[in-house]
Amino acid sequence: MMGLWLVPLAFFGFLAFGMPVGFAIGVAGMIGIFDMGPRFMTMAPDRLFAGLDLFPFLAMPFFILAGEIMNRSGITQGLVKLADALVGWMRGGMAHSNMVASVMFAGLTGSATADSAAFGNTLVPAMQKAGYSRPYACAVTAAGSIIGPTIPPSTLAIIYGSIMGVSIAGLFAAGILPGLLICAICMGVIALTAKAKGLPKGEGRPSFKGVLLALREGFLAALLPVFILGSILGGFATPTEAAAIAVAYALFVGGVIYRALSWSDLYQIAVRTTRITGVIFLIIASASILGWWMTFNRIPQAVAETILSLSDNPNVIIGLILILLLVIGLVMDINATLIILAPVLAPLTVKIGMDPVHAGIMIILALNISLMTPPVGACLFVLASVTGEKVEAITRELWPFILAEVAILIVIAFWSDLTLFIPRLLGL
Amino acid sequence: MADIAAQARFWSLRLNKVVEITCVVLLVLLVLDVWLGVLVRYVIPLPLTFTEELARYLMIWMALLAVSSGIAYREHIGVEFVFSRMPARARRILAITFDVIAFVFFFLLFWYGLAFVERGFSRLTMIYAIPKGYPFIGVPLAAALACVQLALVFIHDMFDDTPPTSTGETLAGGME
Amino acid sequence: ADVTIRLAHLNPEDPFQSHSGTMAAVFKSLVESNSNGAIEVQLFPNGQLGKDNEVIDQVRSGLVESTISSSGGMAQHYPLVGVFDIPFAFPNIGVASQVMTKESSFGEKFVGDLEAKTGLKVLGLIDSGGFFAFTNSKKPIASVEDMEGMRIRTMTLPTHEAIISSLGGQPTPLPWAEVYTALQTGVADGQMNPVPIIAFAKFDEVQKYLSITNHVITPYIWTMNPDFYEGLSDEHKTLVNWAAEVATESGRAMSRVIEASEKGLPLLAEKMEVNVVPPAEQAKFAAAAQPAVRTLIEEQYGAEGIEMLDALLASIEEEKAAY
Ligand code: NA
Ligand code: NA
Repeated sequence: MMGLWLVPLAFFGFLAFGMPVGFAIGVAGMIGIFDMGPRFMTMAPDRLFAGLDLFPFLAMPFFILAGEIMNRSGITQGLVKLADALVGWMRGGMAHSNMVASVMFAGLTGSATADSAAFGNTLVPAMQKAGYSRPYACAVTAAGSIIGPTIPPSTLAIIYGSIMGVSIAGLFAAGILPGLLICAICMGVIALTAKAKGLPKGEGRPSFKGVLLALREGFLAALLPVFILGSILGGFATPTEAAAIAVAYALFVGGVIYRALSWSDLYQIAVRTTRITGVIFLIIASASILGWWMTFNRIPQAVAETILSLSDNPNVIIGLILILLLVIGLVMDINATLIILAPVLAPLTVKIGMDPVHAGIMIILALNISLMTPPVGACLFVLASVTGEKVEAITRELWPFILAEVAILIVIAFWSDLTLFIPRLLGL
Repeated sequence: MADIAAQARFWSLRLNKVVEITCVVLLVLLVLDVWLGVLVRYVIPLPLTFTEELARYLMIWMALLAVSSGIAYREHIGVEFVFSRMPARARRILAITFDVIAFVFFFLLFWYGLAFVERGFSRLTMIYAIPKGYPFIGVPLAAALACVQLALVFIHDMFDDTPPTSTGETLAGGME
Repeated sequence: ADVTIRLAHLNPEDPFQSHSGTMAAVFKSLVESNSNGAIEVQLFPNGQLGKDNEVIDQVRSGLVESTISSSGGMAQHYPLVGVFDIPFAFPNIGVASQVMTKESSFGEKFVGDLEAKTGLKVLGLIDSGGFFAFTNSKKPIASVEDMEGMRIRTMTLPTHEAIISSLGGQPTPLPWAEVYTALQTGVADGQMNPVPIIAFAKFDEVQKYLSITNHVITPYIWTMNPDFYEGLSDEHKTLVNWAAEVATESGRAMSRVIEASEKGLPLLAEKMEVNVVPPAEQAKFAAAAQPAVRTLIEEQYGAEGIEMLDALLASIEEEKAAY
């Protein structure tokens, strides 16, 4: 088994010297599979296909498409003016409203990458127009995107609840406060650094008339989330299908009401959507090759056992679990990590006396944070691909947010009452 | 020398145009399919149950075929902190090396993809019992396209006057 | 260990949570101890290696040694498993337990045909953990009329969709990952699954009514790569066979335990309103749904399908008589 050290070497080596991420992950996975024996090689195309064969993945291309349509047809500009009228007077106002929008959007998506795709394509260009640097706008969006899968609905909570036998309703309820806390602390980071960073600031307080005028322009755009949320809560569509409904709404407003879309515009929009999807999905598909190799050789379990055997102290164990999840989350898809590691970790958390719902939220949150940590974080890649910004430039602006969110994660891990407050209130 | 590079670029864009149009058609079908899935539930209650499975296959084909477009335009993202700080000569060598490694990767995907497709013909899809081999064809097809684009990009990197400044930069200077 | 058996399945590893978990745990324990450690059994629960139809493919090509899969996964490799979708055919779980074994007259025919057509070796045949039951958020389903207009989520399976539409409901096929949310928001009014799965998926949190209709019971099929099996020593072959047999029987028993314990019906009954559709009313359900599914089986699988279906129905009659 030369693969055990060759695979990580190839992966990190190629990645460090600039090989595209989708290729580096796939090549590393293929080296691992080849090392097991040539007869395993058909697993490479097999996993490439199977890694994408999931209906919920559709949300991402649909949100990219809806965002493209909104940008080209000018719907986004209306939204920008509205946001500007409301919060533009505040230094970093648009960054704050990006965070608040993430909380609203959280109610209609279960996945952080869909959130990144939707916002990367609308709010990032909007923030740029308002005078923010693109890397900063991407960093704010990435930091906010993990609120999506923390506040219900959450795909990870559903998977965790069913495989670990924990109440999904309980996990949903327990995710609300941590989600709001992430929003709050990120807004704190924005406020604290706003002056030093020279974030844009408009003139004076908003006038009632100004808000009304902006509302008229931004009304149809502001209605979009209401429309999507309504279609989900009204029982007309699943969260994935709601993304397709967002496309319909954007097309209707942009094409029929604003009359701002030509056929050539639509073709360009479609081309860009397919190409961004291709780039992001190659990373997901390649990760599923590497993931299968890791699973087949029981590597996550081995790493977990080694790390967790270091101590018996409950507090140290919690710390080790968090480190383990953040590290494995660097290289593996979070759904796969959850399926493989939750059964290893959850019994341990029970043994040290953690409430199952509390432990579940802690594990889910740690995995969500790993989505935005470099070098391998799906949200980072989605934003880089959608906006054309460099991963390392985003990362430079992102680290204060990562630190703040890790701090929240630690608070949540060690203060169970905080997580369990709402579930207890609801009697779950 | 720059001539050869320009030729390679020309054919790369030609091939890509065909792929691009195919991807757009797939995307349009995909959107219509998911809309139909919602509509048949509420507005027109037809027993159309293929929509979910079809959506997955359309999405996979669209994404996989678009991988070659991403290669033609160098849009696959990498972490270029080290790369961008290398001298020109080293950048060219690195870029070419990555092209070759990626070529081998996609060639193996193509080669073993054929066996994967063949095996897929002994499995049936859930709806209408169509052999799974048909949707699986997307993998070797996309891998073959990726190989051709990588070969053309390789020729371009090799013979172009200016060495590549980035593994993920847009060669054509934007989308169009 | 000289030999490694990788055994994959869809359910959690905990042997007290699903029959597959039980079967895997019992098999591992028996094989490892009785081979004096010469055989190692590695378990891959929760669909870690892939969805069940994909893992069957990995077993067929000899990359993974063994898997326990649902009929939905097997249908892609052996479509005739669809004959089990004939609704309301089994009078009770006792008869179902007798018929869904490798040894029943039907089981022998079915296993023989599956082995011949897929090349797989069948180690065990077991029911899916009890009959499918309906849950919904509207009202108790006590008669066929109650199904009128009800949007019931089904798997993307033509036969299951036919069951719902022939009863007057509206089949709503949705991917598994979206079912919980869809039931919560009302995209679907209800769904159908065996009791342990309803409990496992926490549908009691988003559904009010559970109606025991005994409408469908499907098999789980435990298979092994034939070349791997043939490569074992005679002693090890015997060991694998009896361990699988004991494990399957343990799984069968565990399904009943789960159903009867705080992990099954009693748990659901605490949170949901449970009603049982009496046999006389079940006969009306059968009359409404059976012909449609029979026609569909004939359309999809031809004479072969009807022959397999009749063998199944005959075996049921046989076991009924023996009761
Ligand atoms: Na959410
Ligand atoms: Na990460």
